[in-house]
Amino acid sequence: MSQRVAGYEIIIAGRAVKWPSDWIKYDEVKEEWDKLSPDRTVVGDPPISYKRENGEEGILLPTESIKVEDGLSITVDPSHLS
Amino acid sequence: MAAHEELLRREANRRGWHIGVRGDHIVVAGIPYRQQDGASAVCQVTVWVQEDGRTMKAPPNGSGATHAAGLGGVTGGKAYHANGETVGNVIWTDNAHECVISIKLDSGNYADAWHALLNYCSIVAAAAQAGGDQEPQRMNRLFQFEILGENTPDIREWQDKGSGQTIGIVGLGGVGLWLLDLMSKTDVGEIRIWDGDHIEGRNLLRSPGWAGQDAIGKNKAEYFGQLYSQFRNGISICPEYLDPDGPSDLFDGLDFVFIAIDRADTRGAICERLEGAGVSFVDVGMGIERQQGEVRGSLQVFFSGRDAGRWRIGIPTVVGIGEQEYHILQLADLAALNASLAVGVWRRHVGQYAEDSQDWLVRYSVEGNTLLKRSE
Repeated sequence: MSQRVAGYEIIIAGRAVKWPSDWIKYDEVKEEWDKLSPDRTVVGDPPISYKRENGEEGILLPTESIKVEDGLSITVDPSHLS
Repeated sequence: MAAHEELLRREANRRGWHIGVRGDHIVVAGIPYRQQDGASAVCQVTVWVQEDGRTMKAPPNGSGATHAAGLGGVTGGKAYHANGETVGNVIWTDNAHECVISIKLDSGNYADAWHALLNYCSIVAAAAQAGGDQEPQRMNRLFQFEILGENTPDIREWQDKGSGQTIGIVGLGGVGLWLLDLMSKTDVGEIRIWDGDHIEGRNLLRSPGWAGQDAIGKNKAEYFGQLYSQFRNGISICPEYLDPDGPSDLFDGLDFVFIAIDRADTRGAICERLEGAGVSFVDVGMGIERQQGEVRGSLQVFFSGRDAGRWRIGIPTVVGIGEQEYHILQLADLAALNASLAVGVWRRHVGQYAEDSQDWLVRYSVEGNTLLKRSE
């Protein structure tokens, strides 16, 4: 799979991120979220969802990857409480 | 293990009763009993013990009778024989849900608390089953009031898909209380509830209806269990945190369990046990936060039934983050939605709802107002 030098413009937790690869893994999303919010480092595996510019939405689970494209928006929810 | 304890545990395992050893008392839940109108339901039988865990002591309200036992969750505060007489000599009753009864042995004294418990449980259950030649009064058996116009055969057939079930609810927080509310209005035979926590004011902002100001400070399982016992039969109260390292018969008799707790390590251990026991379960939970003055986040329902081991990737394990927001924001609507989606999973599982896709993970996005799913 080819990589674009410039990378893709994606959004993780509401913040713009330049992502260099065609795919992004669940753990890589967690790492990016840590960088964006160093005051609340992710402990464990949070719920992660995504939405593409064409409206397609989905769930990203541990061990999985999703195809990256410009405008991909990924959300990480901060807890799992009841 | 002493002979009577072993006998009772074996009998409980065979008949789907649930034994709990709690400090100064031993309780057996899920015991069938006969109501005054002849219908049967389930109750709890309790004996009180001294520090050695075996020597009996008098129950509260037991007038000092060390051989007496308590019945909980009995409509009208009494259990009956088929001939209309009460089971045992009633020492005390609140005429609502509880009583203390005395049954002495012809042969002498009870050897220990387990011996007494075995005798009390056997007699109460036998009274429920004696003279069972009547058509079961299924609606009266479940609910504490008359329901008219619902007894057509096709409706009964639909209800019966869930009527024989014993379900568990682990945790009575915001979502767990909505689960109790919704499941108490189904036809399941028994609802077993666990929670060792006490009620705070904020819990009342998330729970269904208005539980009453005197709820504050009470144990969640006891208070809400007794509250809903005024509405329907078959609620078994476990006023303690479910210990996933508990005895091997922890989940005996359960058909389905709702997990609604916060601690990820406990949740994982419970899932592991349920997976091993072959009991289907649902896990619920939500992750919310405020961004620029608006709440965002999601709530989700995981169902084990498609592949029990998949909980390891399907259930979030995030710890510590977002708890403060969750406890500040009182979102009863999201708790109700989370519970409703979970009950829908159970209804599909028993065949009450149609199922176009075999979903094992459902997630609702607050900001998107959308449902995301993973299906087979």
